[in-house]
Amino acid sequence: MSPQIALLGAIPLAILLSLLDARRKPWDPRTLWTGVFLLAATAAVAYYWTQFPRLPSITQLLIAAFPLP
Amino acid sequence: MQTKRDTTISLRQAGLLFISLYLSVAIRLEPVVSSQYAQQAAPLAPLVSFLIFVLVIELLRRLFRQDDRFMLPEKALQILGPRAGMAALTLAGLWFTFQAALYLRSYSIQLTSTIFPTVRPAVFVFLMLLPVGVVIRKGPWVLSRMNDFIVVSILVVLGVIALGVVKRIDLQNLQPITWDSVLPVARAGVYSSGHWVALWVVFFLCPIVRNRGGFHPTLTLRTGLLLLAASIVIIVMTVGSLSSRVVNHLSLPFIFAVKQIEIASSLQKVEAPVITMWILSDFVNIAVYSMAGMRILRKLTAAQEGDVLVPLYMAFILFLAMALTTAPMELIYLSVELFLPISAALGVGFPLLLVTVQAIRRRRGNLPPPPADPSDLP
Repeated sequence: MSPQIALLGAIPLAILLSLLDARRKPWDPRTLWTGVFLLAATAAVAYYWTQFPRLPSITQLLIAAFPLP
Repeated sequence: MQTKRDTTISLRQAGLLFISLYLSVAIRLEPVVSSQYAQQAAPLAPLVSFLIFVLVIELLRRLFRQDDRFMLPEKALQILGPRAGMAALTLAGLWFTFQAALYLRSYSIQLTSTIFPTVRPAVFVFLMLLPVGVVIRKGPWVLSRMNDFIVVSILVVLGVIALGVVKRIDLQNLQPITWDSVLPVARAGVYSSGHWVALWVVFFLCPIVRNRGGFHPTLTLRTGLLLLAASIVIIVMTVGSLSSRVVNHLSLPFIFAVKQIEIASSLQKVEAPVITMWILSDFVNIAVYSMAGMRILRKLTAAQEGDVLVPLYMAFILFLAMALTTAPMELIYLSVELFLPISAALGVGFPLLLVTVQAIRRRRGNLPPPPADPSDLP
């Protein structure tokens, strides 16, 4: 199993830990939507990271955008 | 008997938090930046940074002049209004999240490039986020109490290491300093001020209460002068023992200087306590930026259950840190050439904007009343 796949296990772990903390019923809708937004952002960044080295890192993108004088 | 939980920290504790924050970055970048711009005159650069630091403290003092508790997010909303305030907080939140990811990645790379070359950086990133997640749930008041001990241990180790390096310092590496050094020193100082003015992040954590001293006695005289001494010592240790030419080609020159210490011809490898100290200060650094980012996220979304969001926010920072870079030298570029100037601009610009708008609105008589205690704290 590649290390990248192993680290992706952090996402279900984070979901599990979040659900264990959810004490209010019904769910606070703002917390729920913020959680969904965070999860989507995490999944997007994680997917981007798994595409290394085919895709450039964020720093390489910034270096291309702001080259050294 | 159950007492009400204290949800504030004092100005003194805020200053101590900033000392840990600063030392974590300064050990990594201060010798690199100062030596790159000021060469042998590098030890003078912190004097310029200190002046900019005092300016920021004066701005914060004017901003909170009529307040009993200092809360920057609430103050920004009060002064800028809901829309512009939310926009400013969004910018600050994104910046703090990126900073947390950057410091997390820097910490993992410094461990893999110094003592654990065969271990993957992702392991250290993951292991650091576990205690950071726990301390975010506990609150900034717990972190600041932990930091009271951490900062003392950091300063003691730094002092002992400095004594060990003294006999390796060659004064030729710190000379000549002439009038021609003034401009390079000023440039190095302005660049380095990026870590000095990062003080504003501490004011995002929770309400800060005034203790016996005010802003200048507590932050300028105690915190600022201590940091000035510490940063001069760090630069003299590094540039004095290695020379600026060598420092300019190293990614972690401080560790390289420490590795040369040999006490009584037998005690070597004293970099271990330095790495330990560094991990502690990195922990405080990452925790403070993550807490500030998390607090702003809750403020923006008005989410009621902050604890639920902590693991998800930690997971986001984990993958952001991993996606930031693939090579250590890229990280130096990112830190020095991009993040440091932005940090300096935001650290001065944000309080300056608030003070200016506050003065204008007060003169016009349409400044809303000061904010109530925040509701997003337990």
